[in-house]
Amino acid sequence: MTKHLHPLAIAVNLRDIVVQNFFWLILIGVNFRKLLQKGWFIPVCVGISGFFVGWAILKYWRFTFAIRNSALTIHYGIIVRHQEHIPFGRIQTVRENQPWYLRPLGLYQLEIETSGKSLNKAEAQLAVVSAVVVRELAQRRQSNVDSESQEITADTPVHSKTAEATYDIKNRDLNIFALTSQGIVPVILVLSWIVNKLQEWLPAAYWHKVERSFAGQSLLILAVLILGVLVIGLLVSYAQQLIKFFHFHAQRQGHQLLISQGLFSRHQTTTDLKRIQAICLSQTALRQIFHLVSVELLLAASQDSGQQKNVLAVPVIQRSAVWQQLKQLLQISVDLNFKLTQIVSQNRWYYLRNNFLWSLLIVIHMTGWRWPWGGLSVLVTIFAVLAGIYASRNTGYYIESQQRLYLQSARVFQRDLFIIDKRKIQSLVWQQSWWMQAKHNYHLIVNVRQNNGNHAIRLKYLTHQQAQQIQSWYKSI
Amino acid sequence: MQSIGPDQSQVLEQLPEQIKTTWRITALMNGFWLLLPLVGAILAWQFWRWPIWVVIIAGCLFIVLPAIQLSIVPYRYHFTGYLISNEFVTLQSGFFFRKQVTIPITRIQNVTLEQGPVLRWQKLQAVRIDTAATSHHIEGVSVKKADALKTAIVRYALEEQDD
Repeated sequence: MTKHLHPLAIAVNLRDIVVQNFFWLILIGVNFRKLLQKGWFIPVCVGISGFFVGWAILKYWRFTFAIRNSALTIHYGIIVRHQEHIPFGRIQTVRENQPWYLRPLGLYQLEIETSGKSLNKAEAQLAVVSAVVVRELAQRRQSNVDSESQEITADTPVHSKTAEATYDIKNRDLNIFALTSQGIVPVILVLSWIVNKLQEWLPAAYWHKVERSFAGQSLLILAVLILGVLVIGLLVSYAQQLIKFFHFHAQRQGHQLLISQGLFSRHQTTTDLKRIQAICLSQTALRQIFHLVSVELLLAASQDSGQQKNVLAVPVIQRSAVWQQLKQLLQISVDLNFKLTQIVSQNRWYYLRNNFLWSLLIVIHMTGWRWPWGGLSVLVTIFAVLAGIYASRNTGYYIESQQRLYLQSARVFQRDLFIIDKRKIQSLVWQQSWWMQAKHNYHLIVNVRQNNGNHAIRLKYLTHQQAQQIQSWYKSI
Repeated sequence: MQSIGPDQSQVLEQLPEQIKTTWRITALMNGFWLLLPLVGAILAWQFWRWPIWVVIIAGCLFIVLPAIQLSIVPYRYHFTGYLISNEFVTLQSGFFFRKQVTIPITRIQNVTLEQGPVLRWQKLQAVRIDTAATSHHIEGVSVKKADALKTAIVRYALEEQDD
């Protein structure tokens, strides 16, 4: 049966229309400023508002959908009519979002994604639907039951099969996860920039007065400022992570993985295990100290650019428990005794050297800063060199079997261990610069699909022998 | 042609000689685009009293970049090639930064033949190979060869498609 969205979708349409046309509204406001001041303001506002409301209602009225036996059909478009036909078997991921303003009404936003590459967003977006629609869609996807034979009501369970494995985040783990998040770094950078600018903007007399009141102890002021920035950064980052991952729950039902999370807005993602392109065990240096790991999934699905790239299957777990969780939740058996083949010691130097050279670009810029902030350039160099040492020690690979490869790459004090099946590798690239040829070293890039694009996993400065080993593994059938 | 990848026993096929002409024309066309910042810098120096070193840098770029591109054409040709087998497509390119790509036939989604005016003049066709995540190019082969390549890749892909 063909249905309309919930009437609240008109408000959502209106919001989207206003956001899409905000630029034009500002342009009209600026260019016709004088006309608007001559008593035209209210009539123009009423006219534009009326037009937008009419547009939103028309959009709502022309958007219909039908959940049929084997597919979801959507009709939309005011002037040019579109018909979207999505067979349930082709659906890769379903995202059920429940923003805070829809929660009291028990309504949801649905995003349905297939593996199609033509769009940069979900193939189907149902702006506001009732829980009954969500349940009906979930049931049809699971069993493709005949819509005529079974009536689905608000009491029908969302997922008929029982969970075969579950994971719930513990409060203690969530706290450690939030406190060890590297989300603090951008917050600190922004705050440092503001403090540096404040020093420039504030009148010099005022700044000297502050310094005098601390009896010329500029180092004390610096220490207080740094501590203040650190504490505020930590609090902001902690709150961000807590809101995002509150009541995180993951469960597996047969081949379906369900993940739900969020404090104010609840988000639920449903995906088929067969659609996973790679599994990434991610560890920041801080979490490495606490032996904590995050499990992320690289999926093949189209997605809005605003959303996170990877799906987090387990936000935080002890490294010793992760293998068991992977087996239960993702049905992946991992070789527990694996040992990575690392970058040979004579090649580790290149990581350090490259980071040092890149840091010089920032250092040259920072030397122009006022004292004592310009002095931080020394710290930047030390940080870059240490990051280089960290990356060189945490890069490696392991060939588990004829079909599975482990690749570990490192970013700024973060290491990612990718578990990839050979048939999910889209292409394998070897790079060698002119000056690397003499040493017979290679850079490796393994391309894996991520959402609608590509994720390139890079391992730099492998020896010829290591490169040969990976290449012959890849080309063996 | 010898492989630059880890498996150096592999022998790749070289592109036709005419590809060198297309690269030389591309280098000259790049030089033409660099003429714009040079003219801009001269005008800014004349009318807004911009420093002379801006003109010198723009002038150097105008001469040096196309000159480098033109001079490395024989070397680039020596290192560019491809190999199509029952299971893999291997592509190789670059001189200063060499690259070898291995694409399993089963991962290929589609093959597209492309031909701009320069390639058409030289009776060549470029071949674009798309996977679900990446896109790769054979810069130019003869029209007959391009068609044969497309047919071969599609045939292998249909035979080997595993999911």
